[in-house]
Amino acid sequence: MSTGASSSAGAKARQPLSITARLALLFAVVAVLSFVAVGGYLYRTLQQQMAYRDDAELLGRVTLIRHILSEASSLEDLERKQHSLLDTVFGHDDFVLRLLGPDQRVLLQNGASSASIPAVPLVPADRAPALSDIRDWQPAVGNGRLVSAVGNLGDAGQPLQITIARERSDRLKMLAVYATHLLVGIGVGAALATTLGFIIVKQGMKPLRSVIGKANDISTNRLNSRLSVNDTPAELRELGSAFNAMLDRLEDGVQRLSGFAADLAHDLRTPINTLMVETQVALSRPRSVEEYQALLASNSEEYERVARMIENTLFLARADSAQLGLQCERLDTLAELRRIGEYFEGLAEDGAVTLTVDGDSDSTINADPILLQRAVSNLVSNAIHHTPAGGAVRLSAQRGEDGVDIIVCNTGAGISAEHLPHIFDRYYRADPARSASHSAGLGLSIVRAIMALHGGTIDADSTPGATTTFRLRFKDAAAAQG
Amino acid sequence: MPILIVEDEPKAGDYLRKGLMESGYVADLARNGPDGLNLALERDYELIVLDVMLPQMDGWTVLQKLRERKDTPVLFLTARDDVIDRVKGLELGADDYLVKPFAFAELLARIKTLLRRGPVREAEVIHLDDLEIDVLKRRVTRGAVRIDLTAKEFALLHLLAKRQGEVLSRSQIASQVWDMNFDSDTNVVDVAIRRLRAKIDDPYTVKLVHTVRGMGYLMERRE
Repeated sequence: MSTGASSSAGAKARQPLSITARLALLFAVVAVLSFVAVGGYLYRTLQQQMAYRDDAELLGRVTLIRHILSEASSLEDLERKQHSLLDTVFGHDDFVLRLLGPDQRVLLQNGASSASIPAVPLVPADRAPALSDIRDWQPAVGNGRLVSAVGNLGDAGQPLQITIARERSDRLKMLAVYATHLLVGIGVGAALATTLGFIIVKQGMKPLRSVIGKANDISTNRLNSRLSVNDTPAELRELGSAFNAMLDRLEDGVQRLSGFAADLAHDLRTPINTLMVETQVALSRPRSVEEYQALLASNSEEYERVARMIENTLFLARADSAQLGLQCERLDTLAELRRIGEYFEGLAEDGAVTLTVDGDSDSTINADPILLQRAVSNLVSNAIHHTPAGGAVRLSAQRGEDGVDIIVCNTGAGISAEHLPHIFDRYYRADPARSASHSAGLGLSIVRAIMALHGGTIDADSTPGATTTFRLRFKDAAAAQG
Repeated sequence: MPILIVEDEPKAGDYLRKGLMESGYVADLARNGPDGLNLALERDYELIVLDVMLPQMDGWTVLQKLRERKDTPVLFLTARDDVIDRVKGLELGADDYLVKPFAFAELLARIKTLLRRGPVREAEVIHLDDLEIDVLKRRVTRGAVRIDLTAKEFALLHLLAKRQGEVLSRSQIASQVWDMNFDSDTNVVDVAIRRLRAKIDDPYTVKLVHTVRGMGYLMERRE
């Protein structure tokens, strides 16, 4: 018990995810990945753009300050113009401007303390500052960018050291807000995509569900229900067709089976009825010993008939499900026919029927001897039975191109064209009136089943009023394989 | 030497026992597997007729346990004649099998074959009343009159004569004389018997070939 339970639990754990769940999950993963990629790209581009613009602004200011310096005639003049210098950074709290005199004296400074401003390589006065001259800077809080350049004072050309820096805190703040928005957007987007994906997949799987619903609807007594293949998507159409084909086979099989069971039960009624009534009548009053003996003997004959019917039915059922193991041997067909002919000789003579056997001597076939006997005997027995006195039955083995034909041919009334296609069906009788007299109509079905087991064929041909011919074709081993 | 029948179906068991006793055998009957096995191990039977479908312990198990200790010949009876079933029985050490429903004559014949020890020396000349069959010369005379028989008629007569007193079923006859090994519902055997009778019985007052209705034919001299 415990092992069974645990193994079933294990099987449950290993059960694969439903296609819907898989697709929805894949959808989610793809959505998150693409959102992250696009968001990351946008974030990075924005960051670069902002950095570039900041740096360009920084450079612009250096150029502006150089210009102001060049227009000042002396340091004193510069003191006076301090106002216009400060204007360049005015309104931007995060800008830091420092002007150092030739003797490293601080001429002008706003914002951060001098100590936090590192010494960086100076851009010479004769070169315009470039983006590559800008350095990272670590102010007290956050980070920033910084550039230092030499600016000549007036015409005298007294070199002054300009340092301009900018904290990036405002830009960082903006980017952080942007990143937060981006993350929220990705989250919401992914959730939305997953949900939509799930709904879409579920919608897409609807035809599959209808297939399942239909399949659930089918039971042995409602086997005629079929999937409608035409309004199914292409992917499912093949499955639907295969499914329908399977249903066709099943329906055919079940129908044959139930028909078979009904036929058998029906056919058993006659002998059982005889047995029952005969016995009950006999028991209704005392009889002589002879009468009892006659009754029992008659019963025994009926029992044998029933036993044979069961045997034949079982034989057909097994032949159908290919449960019969063939024990094939190389057989000389003509010799086999002669033996069967000998067996029926007396019966034929009794009915004033001429029975002849002829054929080609090189007619060797590969067959199960008992089944061959049975098939041919059924045909010969039928033939003699249906041949009027003075008629003839001919048994013949004929070597064909790729096999051997066994022909059983008889003269007589024959089989009319309307019955001919059905004579191999189980329990089919051309003459309903004769149904009770002869044994169950399984003989020809058995012949056909035996031929099918051997990979051979049987066909019948009849000219009413003249001859009826049954032809058993055994293919040569090579031909049968090819 | 007795025969043990192991069969759970009450009617079948009783009739098998009755039939065998009336055919000259001593027969014991066990109605379930364990009883059958105990009897089979306790006493020395010459043959065991074993049904496969038994309560408590099925025939296969009985056979298996029996074979661990004894080699008593076993004829098993089965209602299922799937190839697998038959092979299983023979593999477990059964000596023969019969599929239900079977003719009683068939059962007797199988039992006789299983009990027969060593090769039987066939008589060269068989006498029955004033009928004489010379097997080697293939010559039949009744009284002083020579009777001409076809090859198959001779084979049929020979079969009936050498198993005289024994009922032979139609399918046994078809199999032994014509080598037709399936049960057919033709009356070929009846026709052949009638033709044989026409030659060896009809002209004489003492009849030798007898019909046992519902079973088959036998040959014997009846007073």
